[in-house]
Amino acid sequence: MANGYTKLLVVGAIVVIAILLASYGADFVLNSAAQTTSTVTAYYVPNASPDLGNPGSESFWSTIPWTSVPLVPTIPVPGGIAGHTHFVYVKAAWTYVDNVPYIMILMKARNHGYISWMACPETTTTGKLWQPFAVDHAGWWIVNVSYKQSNESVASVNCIPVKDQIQYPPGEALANPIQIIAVNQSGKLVGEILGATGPGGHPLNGGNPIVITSLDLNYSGHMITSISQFVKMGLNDTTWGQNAYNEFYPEDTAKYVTLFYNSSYMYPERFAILWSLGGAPSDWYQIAYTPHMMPGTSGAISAGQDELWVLNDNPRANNTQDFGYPGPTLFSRNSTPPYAHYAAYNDPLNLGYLKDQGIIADAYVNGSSIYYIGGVTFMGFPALNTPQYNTWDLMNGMYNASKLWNPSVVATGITYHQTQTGTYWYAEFVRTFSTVGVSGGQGESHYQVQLSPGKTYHVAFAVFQGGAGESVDFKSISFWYNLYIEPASSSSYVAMLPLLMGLLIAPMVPLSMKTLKYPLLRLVALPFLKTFLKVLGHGKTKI
Amino acid sequence: MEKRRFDFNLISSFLIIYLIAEFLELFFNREFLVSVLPFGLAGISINTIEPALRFMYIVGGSSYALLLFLQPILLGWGIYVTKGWVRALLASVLLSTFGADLLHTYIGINSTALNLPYQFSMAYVLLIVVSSLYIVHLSGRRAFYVLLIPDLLAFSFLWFDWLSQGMGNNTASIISAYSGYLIAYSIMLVGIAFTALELKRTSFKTVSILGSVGALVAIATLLNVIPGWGFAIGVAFPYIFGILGIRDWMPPIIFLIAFITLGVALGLRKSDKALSFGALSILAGTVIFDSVPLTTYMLAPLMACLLMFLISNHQREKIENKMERNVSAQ
Repeated sequence: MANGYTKLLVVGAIVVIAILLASYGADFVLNSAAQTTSTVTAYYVPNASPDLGNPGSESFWSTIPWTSVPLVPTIPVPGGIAGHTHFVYVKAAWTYVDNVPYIMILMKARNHGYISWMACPETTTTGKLWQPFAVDHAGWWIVNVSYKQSNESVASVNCIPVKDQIQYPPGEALANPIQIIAVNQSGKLVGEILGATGPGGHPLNGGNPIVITSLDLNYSGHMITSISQFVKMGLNDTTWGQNAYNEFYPEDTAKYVTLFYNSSYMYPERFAILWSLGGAPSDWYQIAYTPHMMPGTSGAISAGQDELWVLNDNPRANNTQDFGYPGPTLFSRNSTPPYAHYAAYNDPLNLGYLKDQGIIADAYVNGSSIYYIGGVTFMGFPALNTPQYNTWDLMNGMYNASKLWNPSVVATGITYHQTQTGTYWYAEFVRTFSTVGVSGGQGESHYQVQLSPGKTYHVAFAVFQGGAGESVDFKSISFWYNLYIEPASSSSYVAMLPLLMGLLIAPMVPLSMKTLKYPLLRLVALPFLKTFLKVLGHGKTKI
Repeated sequence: MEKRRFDFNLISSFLIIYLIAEFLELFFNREFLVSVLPFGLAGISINTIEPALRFMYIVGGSSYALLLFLQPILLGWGIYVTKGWVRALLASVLLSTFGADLLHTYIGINSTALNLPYQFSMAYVLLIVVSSLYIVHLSGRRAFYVLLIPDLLAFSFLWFDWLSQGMGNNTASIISAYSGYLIAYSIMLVGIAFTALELKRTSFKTVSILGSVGALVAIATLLNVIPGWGFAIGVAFPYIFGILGIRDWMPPIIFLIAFITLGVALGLRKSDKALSFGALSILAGTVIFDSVPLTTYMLAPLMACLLMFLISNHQREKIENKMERNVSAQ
């Protein structure tokens, strides 16, 4: 009996201690288990040179194996449109150009549905525009346009306190750009609104100017109550943000599992790579299995912070079939991009300025939203840009484009090939290992992954089949992978292999010897094994 | 040599703590709380709700940590009470797990620099697989082989990926990808097969109750009765349970099969306690393991096998002792 109680006491004490340790040390212990994640290796290839006009054709790719990455639908629901792509194939390489390391990633996926070079506004099967608003910083420039449904030709414009503006995430208002102009009609100044939209995202008043019946604006603390005052302050023909209301908000996405598309109405084909920037260990990163956007938010990620590279074939591909190029990136097919290469940023390949290259939508993602890096205002997501300009300046074009953050640090190429087994897209990404200095010290690189040889990075992959109706929330995603950048010389971790394998094999040696009755091995290994077993407390075990 | 024994109640208590920790880890983690519960879809900002969820993260994190502590204890226990090859295999698993985890801790738990040699990872997985199969063989419960299939596919996904990286082989990579692709299908088939094999021995009442719950949830998911319901159930499979190969049509069916299988496992507790608890453990372990290759998750299937073996072993010894006592009394 006493023996039973002793056992219970011992086990109880162990359990209590374990629970206490677990509670206090959870944050640390969560990450103590070794991870042997599935890996994509970026192989070192001397003198490799990307050909972004014909991605995947470069000879060095033929020496590197494809890693086949299984994908799952983002929204796996019956009748859903997500998840057409079952696998994406990935290769990675790196090289030095004038002593500057570059990463190159090639992705391949089978095409499903039509081949799309289109970028139509996302629409539900009931004809409703998907979230028909852009995003801008909340502030005094966000206004309300009030009108009667029976007469859309007249409206009043009023300022809205920031706290009352509709925001996703907090601080970022859902708004569309409108212009407020003053016109002289028979000697009288009349205010008009251009570009206002209704709750469904369709142009108000059939796209015609709307006459302003009353005005109540806040221009950086100065109240404006008449159109003449508006003109006197030099604000004629300025851009403001029309607050979106009664629209299709992020939470409304729950009602829809599919999008409308047909052969003449499609969405872009997209390839995406998500790079973990960390911030995860204290946020239970390792028990966050899939790096996915949370439904009902403006793209918030489930754990940590990441950089997201998105290559869409309209408007950022720079392929001759990409008729949407240039997109909202101030990028032009026929002229030099306006972004400055600061001296501190070392990029001998001159990415962003190559003849055949496209660019990515470079985004930073955290638990609140997606943010475009180097974006301007009124894009699909909030933007991160130079602190030199405020939102009003950006909205009204009052900036020097060369001072904006450079959105073209990742050069891309995209094409497709028809084979006997189907049509396959090839997408290539190239970037310098480090982007430090890219914005001349303004902080852009803080939102971007910085790479080094010999290190491992958490990455995930996604594919949108725009020609099969996939866009916005609907796509195929991978779980976390490791991207290991193989050093130019052999890995230091190979040295640990004998130690690890020794631990793995050691306990089985005595039995193997007993079974094999191999006298020489017994002779050599016996003293070592006896000591080893003594340490383990198995001294009496007969060998 | 006298056989080493433990009181069955202790094994039972240990197993129950282990099982509870597995289920708590499953449902109180960030992914489930933030992503699957449809706060965003209900128009609630994640930033607003996060502070309220913080306590639950601690529960999930502590449960995970508890598993991390209990696994080596269980392995040590297994080594102590077994002998021969089982003991050697378990000792190898324990030592190599310690080695990998200590190496990770030494390099820095938050370091992204650690990349275990692929040869070690491959050997480690083989060791876990061989140990698990051998233990199931010794326990004599063949139905358990069926339950191991999704885990074997998940291991195959990892193993061939490492082989591909090590040898630069496209074919190995394709085998890896298809292993992942088949996991979701295998889970459905395994659930059906296990139910068919054990239906006669299980409690019909338990299966009926859980099956009805599963059916209701499956129908609600199929019809997306409340906006967001279909999302919440659907995303749970890849995001929480880490199941690869999920297709759009699967979540309601998997949900139904999973509940029936759970019912079968629970219903077996009177007729075959070892299989019942082992199956429950592998169900919880499978859904937290799948293709997430942390040592803690990778050990989950082996732990389930070991628990089943220990219970089964103890029950046999108890019967033998009883018979011995009867013989002595006569």
